[in-house]
Amino acid sequence: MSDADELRALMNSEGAAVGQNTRGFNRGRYESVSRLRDYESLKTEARAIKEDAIERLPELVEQVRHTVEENGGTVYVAEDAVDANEYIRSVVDDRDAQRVLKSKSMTSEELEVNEALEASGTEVVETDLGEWVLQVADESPSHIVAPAIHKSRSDIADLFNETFEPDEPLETAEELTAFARDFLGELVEEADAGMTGANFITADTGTIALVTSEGNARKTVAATDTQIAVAGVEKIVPSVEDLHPFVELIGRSGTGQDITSYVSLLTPPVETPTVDFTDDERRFPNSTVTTGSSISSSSTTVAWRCGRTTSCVRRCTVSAVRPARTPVRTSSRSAATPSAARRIRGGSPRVGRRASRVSIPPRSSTTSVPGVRAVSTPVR
Amino acid sequence: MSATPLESLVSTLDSLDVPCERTTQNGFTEAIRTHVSDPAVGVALDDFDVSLDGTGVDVDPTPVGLKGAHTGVTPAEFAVADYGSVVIPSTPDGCELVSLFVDRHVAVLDGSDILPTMDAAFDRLEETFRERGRSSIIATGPSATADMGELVRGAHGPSDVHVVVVEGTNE
Repeated sequence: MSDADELRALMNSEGAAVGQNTRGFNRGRYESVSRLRDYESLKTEARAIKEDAIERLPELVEQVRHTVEENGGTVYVAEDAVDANEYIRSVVDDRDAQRVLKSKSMTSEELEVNEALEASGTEVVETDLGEWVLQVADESPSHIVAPAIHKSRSDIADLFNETFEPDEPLETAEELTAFARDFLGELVEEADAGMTGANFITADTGTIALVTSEGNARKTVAATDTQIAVAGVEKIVPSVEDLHPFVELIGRSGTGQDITSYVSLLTPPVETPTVDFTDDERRFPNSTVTTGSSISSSSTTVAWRCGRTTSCVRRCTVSAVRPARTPVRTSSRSAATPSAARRIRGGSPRVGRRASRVSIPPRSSTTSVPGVRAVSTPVR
Repeated sequence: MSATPLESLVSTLDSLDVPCERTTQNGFTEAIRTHVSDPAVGVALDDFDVSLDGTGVDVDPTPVGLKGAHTGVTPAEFAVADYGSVVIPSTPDGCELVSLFVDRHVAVLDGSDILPTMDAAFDRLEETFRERGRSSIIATGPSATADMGELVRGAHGPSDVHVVVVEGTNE
């Protein structure tokens, strides 16, 4: 198939979902930004912080190393993806971890760390619902903020119904979400280590900032006693107060929300006790295990000032497939053409990169979520 | 006259569909009951000089008890009025777990701990983080996802958040 034919096929199969989801993000962004009084000065401040950090990055890397080690963690600056994956595997092996939970991390996607861990027999479970959809479908992310942006609700319903064969077919977004939460909930409770990305790392305190909405990154850290944060060195900012402009901007640019549901500011070892979810006897404080962390920092990323919110991708005529308002297959491994996508994925666009190790027994469906009210307006 | 931080918080929470109730130490037990559904777990609220005794909330739960709980009651360090955010500390008694592994999170807030802006919030975070190496979550509304094709309230975390403000604690 020629590139043009392949593009047409992609546009036909995924264009509508991408268009609808992208326009939703954009509308939210314009509305959210219009409510922010000092938008321009926050952007200027954020840019200055990044420029300053990049200017003295070697010094900040050393400061992060010092702070994190003083807190009892480790920092590993990897030479390349192979080096990073070897280090991550050594941490997982040291913990004797059979199952690793992951929250969304595009750096880890670039590293292809799932494959590296699975090759040595470790189960890797993606907990971000978009990432999990792709893990079940054996596909790669098409977008760095919304990895499954090319999938519509009915695509996902078909995928789940075919894969899991629930008693009652799943249909609504509420049903799909409830099913995924219940399914992943059991895997979360029996996991041994957690891998996250980092939206920011502060050099002064060694704090890892995670910007999320589902709560899966919180659970990835809270349910396990070892956190591995994987990030490019460009995610380092000098101090905790430097997070302020980014926290006000990132949700607006990313998904059109004033702020996402959760901004986790984690300075490991965190004080939250690690619990055994099957334990019906011991109370929390008696079962405390100190949580440690490792930061594995990849030094290969180049777009260092980027906040990676993708607001540029959604209107860019260079990175997006025409028509400009309908970007297709734009990811951190940005694929502007099907052949580029093929090169990046090392095969046809539909050859999955994951040897899925998610165990998938048929399960009964869950058709209601206690406490959920139907919401048809933007989240905030 | 501009709104006080508390008035501003109440208004923002309303726009987020987060029920908020203002109460006093004396009225706390009665107030909290209306926000809790059984089974409920919680973290002791010693800093507020209020108690969860008599509310049916288990303040010393086992992990299995946590898993089965509908409601989780925790203190919030402070709130950010113009975002409707509550800041949840990571503590040895499990604020993070009790606020996360439940369907409804009830955050209890001291009325004097409401900061007007995110700028002011980071001034405070900067101080506590630099001094004591803290971990905290800035939580705004319920957990949510748009990954299943439409916006859904309640993903991995709570689908419902309530805020109870205890006023007059320093009087």
